[in-house]
Amino acid sequence: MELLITALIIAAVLFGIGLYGVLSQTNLVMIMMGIELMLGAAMVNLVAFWRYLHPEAFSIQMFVLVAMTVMALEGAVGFAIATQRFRTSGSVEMEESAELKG
Amino acid sequence: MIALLLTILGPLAGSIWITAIRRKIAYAALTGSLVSLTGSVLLFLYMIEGKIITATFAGLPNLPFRLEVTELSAVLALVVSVITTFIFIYAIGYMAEEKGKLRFWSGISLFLGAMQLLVLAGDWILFVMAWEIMGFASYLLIGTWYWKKEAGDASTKAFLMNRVADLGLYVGVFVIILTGGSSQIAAEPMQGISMAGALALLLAVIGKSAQVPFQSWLSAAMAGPTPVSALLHSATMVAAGIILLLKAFPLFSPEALIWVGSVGGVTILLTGATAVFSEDIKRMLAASTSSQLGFMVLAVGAGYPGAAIAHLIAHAFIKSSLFLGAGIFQHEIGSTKYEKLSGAGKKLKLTFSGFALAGLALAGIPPLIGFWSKDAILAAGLQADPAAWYFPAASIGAFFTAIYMGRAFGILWKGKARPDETPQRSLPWMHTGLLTLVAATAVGGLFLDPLVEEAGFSIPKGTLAMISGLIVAVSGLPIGWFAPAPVFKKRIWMFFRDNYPVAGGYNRVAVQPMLALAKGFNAIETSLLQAVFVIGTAFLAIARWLSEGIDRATAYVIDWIGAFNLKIARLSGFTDDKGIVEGIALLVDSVQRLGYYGRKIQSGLVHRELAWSVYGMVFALIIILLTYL
Amino acid sequence: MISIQLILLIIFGLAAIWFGWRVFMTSSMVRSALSLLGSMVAIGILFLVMEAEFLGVLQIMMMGTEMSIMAIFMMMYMMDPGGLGNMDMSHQKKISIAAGVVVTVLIVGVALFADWGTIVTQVPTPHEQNRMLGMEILKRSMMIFETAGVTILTGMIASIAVALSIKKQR
Repeated sequence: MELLITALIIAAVLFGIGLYGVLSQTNLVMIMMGIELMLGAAMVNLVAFWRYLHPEAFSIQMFVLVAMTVMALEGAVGFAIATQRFRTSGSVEMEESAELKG
Repeated sequence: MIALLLTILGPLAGSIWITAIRRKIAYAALTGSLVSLTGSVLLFLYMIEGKIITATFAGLPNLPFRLEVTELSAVLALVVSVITTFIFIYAIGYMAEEKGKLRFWSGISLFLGAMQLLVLAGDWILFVMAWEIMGFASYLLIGTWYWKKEAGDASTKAFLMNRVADLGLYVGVFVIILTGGSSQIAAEPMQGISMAGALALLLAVIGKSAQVPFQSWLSAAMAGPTPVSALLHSATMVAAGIILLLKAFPLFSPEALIWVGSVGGVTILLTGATAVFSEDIKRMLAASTSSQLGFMVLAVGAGYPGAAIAHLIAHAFIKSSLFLGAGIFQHEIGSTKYEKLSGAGKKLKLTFSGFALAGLALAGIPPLIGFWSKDAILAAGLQADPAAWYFPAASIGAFFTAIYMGRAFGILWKGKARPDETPQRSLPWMHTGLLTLVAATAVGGLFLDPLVEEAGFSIPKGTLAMISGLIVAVSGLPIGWFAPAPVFKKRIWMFFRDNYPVAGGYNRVAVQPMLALAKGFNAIETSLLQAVFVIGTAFLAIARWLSEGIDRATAYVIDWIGAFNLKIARLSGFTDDKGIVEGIALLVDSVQRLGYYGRKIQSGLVHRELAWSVYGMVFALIIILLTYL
Repeated sequence: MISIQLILLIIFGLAAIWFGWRVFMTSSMVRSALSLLGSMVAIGILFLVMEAEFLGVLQIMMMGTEMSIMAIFMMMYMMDPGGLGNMDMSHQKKISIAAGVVVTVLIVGVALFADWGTIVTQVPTPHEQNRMLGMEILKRSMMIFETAGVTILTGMIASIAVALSIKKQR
C-alpha cells in the first residue's frame, strides 16, 4: 500500500509543478515543458496503477504508450507553431500575443 | 217486346236524327210518330188477345226498371200515338213558314217518346224520369220562339211552377216505395199510402195538370206554337197528372180521395169562370183545359176512375181539334185575340165547321163523344159519397163549358169578315190533321164505352146525370152565343179573366223577391271581394315594410361586425409590433450585452486563458470528488 | 513494509521532483531543458523500479532525444538562452502557485483517502510482459494502435505544414 501511495504522491507533486510552470511562464517553450511534466506525472500514475492493482491488464500499458505518443506529437506540433510564430512576430513570448482578444 | 221498343224508341230516334242530321226534319219526326203508332197498335192488338207484355231491366239496386203493358196503358198509348200523328201532320203545314223548326220538331219528337214511356212505365222510377223529360220538352217547346220576350218568360214560368209541384211527386214516390217495399206500379197493392204521401202526389197532379192554385202557367204557355198547345197542353202532358192519379188510385185512402175531389171541384168552377171571361181564344181554351181536367180529377176523387179515363180520351180528341182550329185562325188572321178574330169563321168556313163540331162535343151534345164522357162524370158525381157537392160543381162546370163555347162560336161567326189580305197557303196539311181529329170526335162516341171496357174500367151511367147534362148544355150555348162584346171592361171580370192574380200575381209574389235576393247576394259577394283585396294589399304592405326592415337590420349588423373585426385586426397588429417585435429586440439586445460583458473577460493572452481552464478543471474535480463522497 | 522498491521509489521520485522544480527556477534556458531531461529520466527509472521494463526503456530513450531537440529550440527562440540577463520571466505568479498547490493537495487527498483495494504482488516477467503487451496491441487494442499511427502521421504532416514559411513576393 505504501508503495502505491508513495508513487501517487510523487506523481501529484510533479503534476502540481508542471501546472505551476504552465501558468506562470511567458515563453511558449517553457509552457510546453510544463505540459510535458504534467504528462509524465500522469504516466507515473498509470504505471503505479498497473503495477499495484492490475498487473494482468496490459491495456494500461497501452494507455501509457498512447500518452507517450501524445507527448511526442504535442512537442512536434507545438514547436512547429513556435517556429511560425517566431517567423511572423519575432518572438515567442506569450505576453505580447493578444491577437485573439475579441 | 219489339212493339214496346217501337213505341217508345221510334220518336226518340226521330228526335236524335233531327238534332244530328238536320235534314228532312218534319218528315223524320212524322216517321218517328208513325213508328210509334205502329208499335202502339201492335200492343193494343196483343192486349186484346190477352197477352200481358212486361220488360224488366236493370235499374237501381233492388228497384229494377219495368215496362208493363196493362190494358189501361195499351189504350192510352194508342190514343196518344193517334192524336200525335195527326197533330204532326197539321204541324207540317203550320210550321212550314215559321222559324224555329229544328227546336220544335226535335222537342216534340222527344216529348212523344217520353209520353209513351210514361204511359208504359211499370215502375215509379221510370215514371218519374219520363215526367221530368216531359217537363223539359215542354220548356223547350213553349220557348220555340225564344226571341219573343213573352215566350221566354212563359217557358220559365211553366218550368218553375212544374218544378215546385214535382217536389210532391218525389215525396209521394218515396212514400210509395217505402210503404210498399218495391217500386213497381201494382194494380192491387198490399196497403195504401199515408195521407201525407197522398197529398204529396196530389200536389204533383195540381202542378202538372194546371189545377188551382197552379193554373196560371197554362195560360202563359199559349205563347208557344199551336201544335204544342194542341198536343202538350190539352191532350197529353197535362193529362199526365190524370194518369198519375189513375196509376196511384189503388193506393189512395178514402179520406185522401175527398181532398182529390175537392181540388177538382174548385178548379172546375174557378177556371171555368176564367174561360167565360177571357178575351183570347187560346187562353180561353187553356182555361177550358184546366176546367176539364178538374172534371177528371173530380171523377177520380169520387171513386170512378173509369169516368176519368173516358173523359180523358174524349177531351184529348176534342181539345186538340179545338186548338188546331184556333191555330188555323191564328195562322190566317195573324192573332188570337177575340177582337181581331170576329167574323173569321165566315172566312174560313171549313175550319169553323170543324171547330164548331168539336166545341159542341165539349159542351156535351149527343151523339158526339163529349156527351158520353160528361154524362159519365155527372153520374160519378151523383153516385159518389160526398155527392152533396160533387154533382152541383160538375153541373155548374158543364154549364160554364157550354157558355164559353157558345161565346166563342158567336164571336167567330158574327161580325164583319175582313177582306182577304194574304193568300191561303199550307192549308191542306192543316186541314187534314184537323178534320181527322174532328171526325174522331164525331164518331168516337160509339167506341168510347168499349174502349174504356177494354182498359179494364167501367163507366158509370145514370139517367139523372144524362138529363141534367143535356139541360145544362142546351141552356148554356145560347147564353154564350148572345153574350156581349169580346172584351169585358169591368174590373171584376178582368179579375176572373187574368186567373185571379192575388197580391200582384206571379210576378210580384215570386219573381221580384227572387231577383232582389239575387241582387243582394251579388252586393255581398262584391263587398267580400273588395274586403279580400283590401286584406291582400295590407299584407303586401306589411311584407314590404318587414323586408325593408330586415334589410336595414342585416346591413347594420354586418357593418358592426366588420368594424369590430377591423378593430381586432388593428389590436393584433399593435400587439405584434409592440409586443413580439419588441420582445425579440429585447432578446437580441440582452444577448448582445451578454457578449459585450463576456468580451471584457477575454484577454486574448494565453496564460490567462490557461488559468481559466485550470479553474474549470479544479471545479470539475471538486464536483466529481463530492459525488464520490 | 519498507522494501527496496519503496526506497528506490522515494529516491528517484524525489529526484524527479527536484529536477522538475529546477526546470522553472533557473533563468538559463539550456539548463531548464537539461533539468527536464533529468526529470524525464528519473520518471523512466521509476518505471523500471515498478517493473514496467519496456515502458521505462522507452521513456528514457524517447525523452533523451526529445530534450535534446528542445534544447536546440530553446536556444533558437529564447532572448536570453544563457540566462545571464537576470529577468524574471514569469507572470501571474500568485495564481499559478495557488493553482499548483490546490491541485496537488486535491490529488494527494484522493490518493490517501480512496480505497484502492488489495495490492497485487505477483507481476509477470519482463519477457512475459513484452509478449503480453504485444498480444494486447495486436488483438484488443489494434484499433487504438492504428489510430495512434494515423494520428502520428497527421501530426507529422501538420507540423511540417505549419512550419513551412510562406514565400512573400517582395
